[in-house]
Amino acid sequence: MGRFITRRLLQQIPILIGVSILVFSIIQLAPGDPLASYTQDPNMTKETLEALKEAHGLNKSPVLQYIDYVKNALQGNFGFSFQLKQPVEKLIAERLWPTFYIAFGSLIISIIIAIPIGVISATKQYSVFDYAGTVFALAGISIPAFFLALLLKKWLAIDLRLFPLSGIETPGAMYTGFARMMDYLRHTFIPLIVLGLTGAGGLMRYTRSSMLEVVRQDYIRTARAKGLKERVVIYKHALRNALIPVITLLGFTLPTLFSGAVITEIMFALPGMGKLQHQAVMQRDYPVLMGTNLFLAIFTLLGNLLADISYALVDPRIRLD
Amino acid sequence: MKYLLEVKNLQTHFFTEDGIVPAVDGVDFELEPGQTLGIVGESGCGKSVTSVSILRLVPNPPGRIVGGEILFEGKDLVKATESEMQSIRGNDIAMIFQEPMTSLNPVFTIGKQISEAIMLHQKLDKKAAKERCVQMLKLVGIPRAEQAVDEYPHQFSGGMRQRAMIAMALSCNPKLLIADEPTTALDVTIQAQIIELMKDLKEKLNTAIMLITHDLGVVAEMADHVIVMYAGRVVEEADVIDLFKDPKHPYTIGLMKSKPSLDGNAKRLDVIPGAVPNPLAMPKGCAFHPRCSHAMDICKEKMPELNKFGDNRKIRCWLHEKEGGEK
Repeated sequence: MGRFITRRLLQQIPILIGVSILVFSIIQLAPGDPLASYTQDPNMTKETLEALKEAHGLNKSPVLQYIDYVKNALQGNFGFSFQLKQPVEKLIAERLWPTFYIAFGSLIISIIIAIPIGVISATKQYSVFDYAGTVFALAGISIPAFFLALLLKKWLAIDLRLFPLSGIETPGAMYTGFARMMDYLRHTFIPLIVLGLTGAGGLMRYTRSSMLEVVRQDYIRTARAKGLKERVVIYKHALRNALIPVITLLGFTLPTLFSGAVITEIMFALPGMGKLQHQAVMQRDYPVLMGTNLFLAIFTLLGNLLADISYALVDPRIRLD
Repeated sequence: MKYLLEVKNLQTHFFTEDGIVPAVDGVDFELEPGQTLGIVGESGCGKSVTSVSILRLVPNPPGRIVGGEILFEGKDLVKATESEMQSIRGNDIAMIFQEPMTSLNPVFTIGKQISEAIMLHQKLDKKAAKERCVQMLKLVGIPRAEQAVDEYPHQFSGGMRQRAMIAMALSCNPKLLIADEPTTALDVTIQAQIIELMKDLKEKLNTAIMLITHDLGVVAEMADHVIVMYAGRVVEEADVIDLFKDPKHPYTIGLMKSKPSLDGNAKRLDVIPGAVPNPLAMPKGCAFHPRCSHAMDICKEKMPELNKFGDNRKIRCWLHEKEGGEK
């Protein structure tokens, strides 16, 4: 296992180099540049603009710019945000934890909702519960996150006044310890539910179809023929097998959770990666764009690695070495 | 009590979108303790459905036992509750399936899968169950049993998996073992080994066996008594020697002729013309009449009864109706 992980981590290096070249090219090809907004400023002279370009290395050829970027990045220096006037690594680090929290929190909610419903739907195929679950999943897949977010905000935050409208903590409250945790939870309840519900639909359908296939297998009949209780047959013998394909889906979901929450983060004014990236795109903030995209690439690769390792943990037929 | 298992007029039907499939349509037979009963017939004649009906493992929907009784030690399993069935399955009645390659759960070790039943029915703790498991694996002739308990099914060959299935089935000393085509999926040398093993274990443990197969060789080798099924019904029942020496029902005769023999000099094997009838459109009268070379007018009109001839023989055929058969 250890050897496998090391080998896989080493394999990621060429992939990351490729990704960085691709992302760099796309950013360069996009119209506009970071200094475009300054040209609107009547006080800005041509000379100052040139001097600024020079200072940021923007007048060099793209190839040289890329080489400079990689040189700095290898030393842990991912550049300086043009707009926020802060080092990129600091900006990402600040937004990492809220993003992590929202991503994993909503993933856990999705799993808690989707897997039991998927299993029950499959074992009681074509029952009222199954149809209700299917309708729920369809709704989860097709209702856009922003719309659900607006509905829940109106209902829970405005009408019932149960939760705050936006933000991640009460400004200026300076809670500590448990009170601070509860404050976080209260602020993020609606976004977590929104992301959890919209993610649960697909996962539930996936669990259901995987489960339906497994309960027809011969070894499930063997398990019943041993006299095992139906609960043990379903939740031990069948579920463990049914989860194998679900893990693949989760491996792919992880990176989209880090980037896909952009709209939700903006709507709830959460200081996360999505919001940072959105701002950077709007302002052509090259270093921040490079930094966040590389970060997401790393997470995609880590997600895949995590899925492969979980595979081996669940399915003894898969050996990693 | 004379019989361990008594099946009376068992009817298991499948309710499909195209109509009702009477997979088992009035099957009767008895099994004495320690006896081996062979059930033979072509694919689709209802042998396997009969066996899963006894364990009440008919997939529902679409299948359901719609009538009859299954008396096991005098208790009617058709009316038993699910939890009563759970304490019988794997404990009093165990089953071996046709497909050893897919009948074991790929994500649990062999040892875990065998000890599960032992812990459940014999109330042994984990350690004792594992010891019993090693003992069972040795009994069925698995080499390196101590290591093999911790291995996964994919590390076993087909023959070893079937041995493991047998070990699992026998681990709680069942009174009845249902073997549903236990050798069909194995190659010939392994088949012989598995049959030897089952004969051997039967003598050691005195388990009654219900052997479902379409391989007449296996029946001749193992069974004491045989029933021949066709289209969901028993067409002939006899002791194994009588059946092979003097088959009566035209279908049984056809089966006997279509098996190769070592001393025979026939260039081609005989075949029974035609195929098993579509269960949704069973022919009127005797289900076998469209394929029967002796078919008479009455065969097309009325289904014959399963009549008794002597002590151990029953035949369902109009040809033998007048030979002094009694109901």
